Amino acid sequence: MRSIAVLHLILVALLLLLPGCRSREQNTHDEETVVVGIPADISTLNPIFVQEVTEGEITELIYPMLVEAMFDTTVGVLRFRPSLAHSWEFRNSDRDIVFHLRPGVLWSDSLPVTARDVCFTYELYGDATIGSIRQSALDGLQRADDGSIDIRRSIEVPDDSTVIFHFRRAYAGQLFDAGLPIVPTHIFGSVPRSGLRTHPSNRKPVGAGPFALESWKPMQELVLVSNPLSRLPGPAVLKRLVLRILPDNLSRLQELKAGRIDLVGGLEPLDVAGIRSSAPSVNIVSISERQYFFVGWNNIDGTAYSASKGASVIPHSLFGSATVRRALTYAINRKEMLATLLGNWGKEATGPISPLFRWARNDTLTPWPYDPAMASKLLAAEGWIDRNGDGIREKGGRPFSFSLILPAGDQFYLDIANLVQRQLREVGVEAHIQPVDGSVFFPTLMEKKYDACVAGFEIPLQIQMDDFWNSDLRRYPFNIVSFRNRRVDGILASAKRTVHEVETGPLWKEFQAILHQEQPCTFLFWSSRLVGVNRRVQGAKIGVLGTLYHAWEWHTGKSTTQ
Amino acid sequence: MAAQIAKRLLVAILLVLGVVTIAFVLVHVLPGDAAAHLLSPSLSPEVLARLRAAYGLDKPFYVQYGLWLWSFVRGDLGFSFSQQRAVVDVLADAVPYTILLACTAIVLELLLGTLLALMAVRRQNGLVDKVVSLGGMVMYTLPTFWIAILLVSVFSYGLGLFPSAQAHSIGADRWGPFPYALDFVSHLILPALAIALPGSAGIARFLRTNLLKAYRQEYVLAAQSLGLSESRIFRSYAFPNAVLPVVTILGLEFGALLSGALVVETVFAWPGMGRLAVTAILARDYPLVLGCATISGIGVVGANLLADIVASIVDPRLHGEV
Amino acid sequence: MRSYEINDPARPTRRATATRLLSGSLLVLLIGASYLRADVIAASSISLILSPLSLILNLDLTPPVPFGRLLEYWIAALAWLSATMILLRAMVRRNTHRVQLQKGALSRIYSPAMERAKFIGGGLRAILLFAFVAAAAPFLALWDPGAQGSLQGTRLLPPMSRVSYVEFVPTQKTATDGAIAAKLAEVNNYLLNRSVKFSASQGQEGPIIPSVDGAQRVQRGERLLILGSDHLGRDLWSRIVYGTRISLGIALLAALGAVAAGAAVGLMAGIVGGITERLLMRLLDILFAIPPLFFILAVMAFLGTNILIMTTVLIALGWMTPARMVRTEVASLREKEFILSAKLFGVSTRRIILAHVLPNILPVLLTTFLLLFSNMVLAEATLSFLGLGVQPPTPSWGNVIGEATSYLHIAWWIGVFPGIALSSLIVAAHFAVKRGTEEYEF
Repeated sequence: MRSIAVLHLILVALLLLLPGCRSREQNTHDEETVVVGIPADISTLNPIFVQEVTEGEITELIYPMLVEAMFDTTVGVLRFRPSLAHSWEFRNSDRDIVFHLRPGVLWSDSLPVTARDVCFTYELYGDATIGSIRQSALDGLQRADDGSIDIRRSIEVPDDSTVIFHFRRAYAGQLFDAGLPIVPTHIFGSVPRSGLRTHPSNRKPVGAGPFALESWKPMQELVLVSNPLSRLPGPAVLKRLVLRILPDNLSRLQELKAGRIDLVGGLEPLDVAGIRSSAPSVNIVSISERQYFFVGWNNIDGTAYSASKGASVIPHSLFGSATVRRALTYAINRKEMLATLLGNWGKEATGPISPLFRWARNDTLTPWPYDPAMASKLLAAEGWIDRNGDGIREKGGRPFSFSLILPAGDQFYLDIANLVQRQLREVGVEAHIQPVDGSVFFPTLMEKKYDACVAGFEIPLQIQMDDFWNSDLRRYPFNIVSFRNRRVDGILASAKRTVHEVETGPLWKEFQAILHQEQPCTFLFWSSRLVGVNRRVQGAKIGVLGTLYHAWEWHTGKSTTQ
Repeated sequence: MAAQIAKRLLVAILLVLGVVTIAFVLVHVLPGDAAAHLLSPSLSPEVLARLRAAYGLDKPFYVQYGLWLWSFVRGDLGFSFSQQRAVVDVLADAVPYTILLACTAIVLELLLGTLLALMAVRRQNGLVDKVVSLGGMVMYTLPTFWIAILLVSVFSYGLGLFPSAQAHSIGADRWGPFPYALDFVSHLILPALAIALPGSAGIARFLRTNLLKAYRQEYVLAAQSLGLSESRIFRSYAFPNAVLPVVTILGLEFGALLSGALVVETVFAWPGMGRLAVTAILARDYPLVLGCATISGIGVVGANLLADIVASIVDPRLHGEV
Repeated sequence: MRSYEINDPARPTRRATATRLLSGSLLVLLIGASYLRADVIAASSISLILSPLSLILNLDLTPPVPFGRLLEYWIAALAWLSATMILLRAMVRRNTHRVQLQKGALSRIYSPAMERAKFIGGGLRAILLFAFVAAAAPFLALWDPGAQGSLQGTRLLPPMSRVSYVEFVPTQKTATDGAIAAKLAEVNNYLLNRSVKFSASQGQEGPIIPSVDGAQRVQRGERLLILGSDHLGRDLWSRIVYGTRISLGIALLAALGAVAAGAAVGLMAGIVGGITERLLMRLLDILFAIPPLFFILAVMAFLGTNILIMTTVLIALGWMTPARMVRTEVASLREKEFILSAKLFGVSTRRIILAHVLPNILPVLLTTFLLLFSNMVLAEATLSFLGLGVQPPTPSWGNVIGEATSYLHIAWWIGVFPGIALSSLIVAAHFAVKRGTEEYEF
C-alpha cells in the first residue's frame, strides 16, 4: 500500500510541476509581421455574407472595391478615392455614375478583374434568395415592375473596363453604395445560388486586394499575407498580418503588455493606466464618437400601441411630457457616469448626431447639467408628488414606477442601469431593472412593448436620422422611443431630398435643438473605442474607419517590450 | 446477455433522441431567432424575411424538425448560422478540448482521491484521517466557480505559474510538437484542477469508506489467515472491490462533463462545448444547439449505459439484471 | 419527547466550556454592533412596540403605518432580541446533559427512525447563525446594499477603508394624535425614508436632495468599510449581509418545494406501482439526461429572471432526486411485513401512508432536504454568477462575484469574501446531517 501511495504522490507532483517549467521562449516576432488580437472568430470571408464589423474590415483588405472611403475629419464628411476604378464621372443630373476600371488588375489566380465581375457581384448582393444583409445598398438602383431590383437596367457593362450605375435619383450615398467589395465571377458564377453560402471559396478567398489569405485555423487565428499581384494600390508592405482570436479580455491585455500582440481593440478604460505604467511601448489610440448610449423613454403608451397593432398612439402616462423627460435628464449624472464607467474616454452627448460631423453639429447646445433639485421641482410642477410618504412620487393614483429593460449579458449596460436606477430613486422615481435576452431586445423595442430602456447605437459615417426619428411609427419601427414631431418630420424630408450632404447642415442644427428641448430620450455619452498599438507598428491610421484601415501601409520598426 | 445489451442500446438511442427533441422544441419555442440579432435600420423587414427563408426558418416547426431529423439520420448535422460552417466542423473543433479537459479532470480526481483515501485509511481515525475527512468535506462543497477564481487569482495573477485563460499561447503552434504539447498542458492544469479538486474530495471519502468495508469482508479475513502478504491482499482483493463503484461514479461524471463544464470554461475561456452551447442558444443557432444537445445526450446516456454494462459484466451477481 | 437538563457543577464538559466561550464572544460582538447601530435598533424596537399599540388605541395616523415595509425592521428587532437571550442563556449554562424521554406509541415509531437522523449541533447552529444574519440584515449591514455616493474615489476600495458619510432624513409633516403617534411617525419616517451617501473624502458625498417640504435632518460621520467596496462603489459587507437573505431564502424555498414535489411524485410512483411507476422512472431518466443549461436559458429568455421564476426553475431541476429516493424507499417498504399485514387488515391506503410510510421515510426526506438545500445554495450562486439568476442591484453572493469578474485581478476581496460566506453555509448544511454509518464520521 505504501508503495502505491508514494507512486501516486510522485505522479501527481510531476503532473503539477511539469507545466510550470514550460518553454517560455516566445516566438521571436518576425520582422514585418504584425499580430492583431480579435475577440471572436469571424464566420466568412465572402463579402456577400459578411455580417460583423471585423469580417467586413478583413474582406475589404482582400477584395477589390470600385472606390475607397476616407473620412475627412476636419469637415466631417466621407470622401472617396479611386481604387479599382481610377476615375469616374457623374452624368444625367448625377443619376448615373460611369466608372473606368484600372487596367491590369488581376485576381490572385492571375485572371483579370473585369466590369463583368462588378455587375455579377451586385446581382448577388441584390438576390433575395441569397439574403445578403447588404441588400439595402441597391435600394437606389432601378427597379422592375414587381418592385425587385432590375440589375440589367441598373448596372450597364459597355466593355470590360467600364461600369455604369444607373440610380433612380441622385442622393448622398451613391458612391458609398457603389463601393462594395467585388467577388470573382469565374469562381462563383457557376455555383447554384442556394449553394453559395456553403461554398468552400468563402473560406479560401480569391481576391485582388493588398492582402491574401494564407491560412485560417478556426477559433485560433487567421493569417493574411501580402498579395504580390495586387495593384490596389499595391502589395501590402507587411509580409504577414496575423489575426489571433482571443475571446478573453484579460489575456488580450496580458499579451499586449507582454509584446506578443501588437494591436488590440476594445480595451477597458480601467486597464489603460496599467498599460501606460507597465508597457510604455504601447500607444493608446481612441476611435471616438461612433457609438452613443442613451436611456430611452417610450414617448407613447406601448401596451396600447402593440395591442392595437399600431393604430392607437397615445402619450405615455409617465414619459409623454417633455418636461418630465427633461426632469429625468436633470436627475441623471451623466458626467459622473462617463468618468466612472468610461474613465472619461468619451464625451457627453446632446443628441444623436455625432460630433464627428463638424458641419452638422450644433455647438451652441450644452448638455443639461446634473441638478436633482431642479428635477424635483419640475416633477412636482407636473403634478408628481409623493403623497403617501413611501418615497415614490404619484399622480392621479399612479406611482412613478416603471420597468427599465436592457440587453442581458452585458455588464456595461447593467452598470449604467444600476446607476440610473439609484439616481432616479433619489428624486422619487422608481425603475425596475429587467435584463432582456439579446435576440429579443430589439424586437421588443421595435414593437414598443416597453416603458424605458438602456441602449446604444453605432452610427454610420453618413447622417441617417430618418429611420430613428420619423413619426410614421409603422413604417419606421426603429423610432424606438416613438418620438413624434411635425417639424422634425419636415426636416427629415428636406434632408432626404438634398443631394449634397453638407447643405443639410442648418437642417441638422435645428434638428438637434428641437431634440435637446424635447429630450425624447436622455442621451448619455459618446463612447470611445480604445485600441492599444505597440510602437513597432508604424503607419497605422486607426480611426473612425476601423482598426484595420489602410493596414497595407503598416510597416514595422524594432520590436519593443520595454 | 447480448440481447440485454442490445435492448439497453436501443433504449439509450431513444433517450438521446428524446433529449434532442426536447432541445429542438426549446429552441423553437423561444422568442427571437437566428436572424434577430442582425436587426438594424438598414435591414428592411423584407430582407430579414428573405434571410430567414435562406436559413429555412420560415418553414413550419414540424417540417424543420422532420428535415433536420432526416439529415441527422444520414449523418449530416446541418449548417451553423452563427459560424457559417458545417455543424460537424464546429463540433469537431470544440469536442476534443472538452474531452481532454474531462479526461484530465477525471484522471486527476482518481489519482488525488485515491491518494487521499490511502493516506486516510493507513491510520484510521488518526490525525491525517480526520484532516482528510474534514478538509474533504469542505473542499467537496466549495462552489466550482469559486475554486476556479481562487486558483486563477493565486496561481495565475498572483504567482504567475500558469496562464489564466484559453488553451494555447500565441504562436504556440509554431513551436514544434513537444513545446506545443507542454504549453497545452500548462493551460489545461488549472481548469482541470478546478473541476477535479471538489470531485477528488468526494472520491476520497467514498473510496475510504469502501476500502474499510472491503477490509471487513470475509474473503479478506480468509486471505489474511491464509498468510497472504499485505500488499497482495490489497492489490488483488481489497482495492479492486473498493474501487469499482468509484470507477462507476467517475464514468457517470465523465459523461456529464461531456456536456461541457460551463462554469470552468467561462472563467478560463476554455474553447469547449459548454460555452459553445450557451452562445448557440443565445444566438438561436438551432442546428448548432441540436448538435451540442446530441453530443451531450450521447455523453450522458452513453456513460450511463457503459457503466451499467461494465458493472454487470464484472459483477456476476448482476448478470441478467441489466 | 422532553429533554431534562442536569446541572452537575462537578463536571463541566469541554464542550460546554467551548460553548460558553463562543457565546460570550458572540455576545460581545452583538453588544458592540448594538452600539454602532444604536439609532436603527432603537428606532426599530420603538416602532415594533408602538405600531400594534397604535392599532389598539385606534390612533389616527396620516400617513398610515406602512406595515409591509416595516416588517423587515420588526423581524430584525425580534431576531436581535432572541439572539441576545439565547447567547445569554448559553453563556450561563455550565454543562449539558440531555436525557430524552419518550411518550406514547407514536414516538416508539418515530424515535428509532429519528435516531437514524441525528442532527449535530454544530451544523444546525451555523445555519441558524446565517438565518439570524438574514433576519437582522438591516442592523448588521452598515447601510442599504445599493448605497453609493460620489463614485470618484469609492470604487474598488480595499478592505478597511475609511469613508465619510452623510445621512439625511426628510422631515415629514404628519397630522398626529398625541405623543405616541408623534413618536411612532418619527421613528417610522427615520426607518423608511432615510438616505445615505458616502465618499472617500469629506464633503464630496454628493448633493442632498431637498425633500418636498424642504426640511431635512442631516447627520455626518465616518465609517469603516470592513470588506471594501465593489466596482460601483457599494459597500461589500452590506451587500454580503443582504445577500444572505437571497441565498438562504431562495435555497430554502427551492429545497422545500423540490422535496415536497419529489416526495409527492415518488410516493405516488411507489404506492401505485406497476406501469405508472415504470413510466415515471423512465421520465425521470430522460429529464436527468437533459443538460440543465438549456432549460435555464430557455426559461430566462421567455420569462425573465426574477426571484420567483428562479425558485421555480430550481425546483424544476431538483425534484427528481427526492422523487427517486422516495420511490426507492417506498418500494422497499411496501414489501415489508407490517405494511402487508396492515393491508390484510383492510386499513385504508391513506392511513397506511400517513401512519406507516411517512414516518419511515421522514429521515430520508430530512437528509435529502438538507443535501438539496446545500445544492440549491450552490446552484443559485452559480446561476447568479453566470448572470442567469438574481439580477443586480439585488445582491446575491453569486452575482456580487459575477459582476466583478473583470476586476478580480485588481480587487481580490470581491471574489474572496462572498465565496467564504457561500462555502460556510454549504459546509454547515453538510455538517448538519449525520447518518449512523461510517461515511460521515464527523
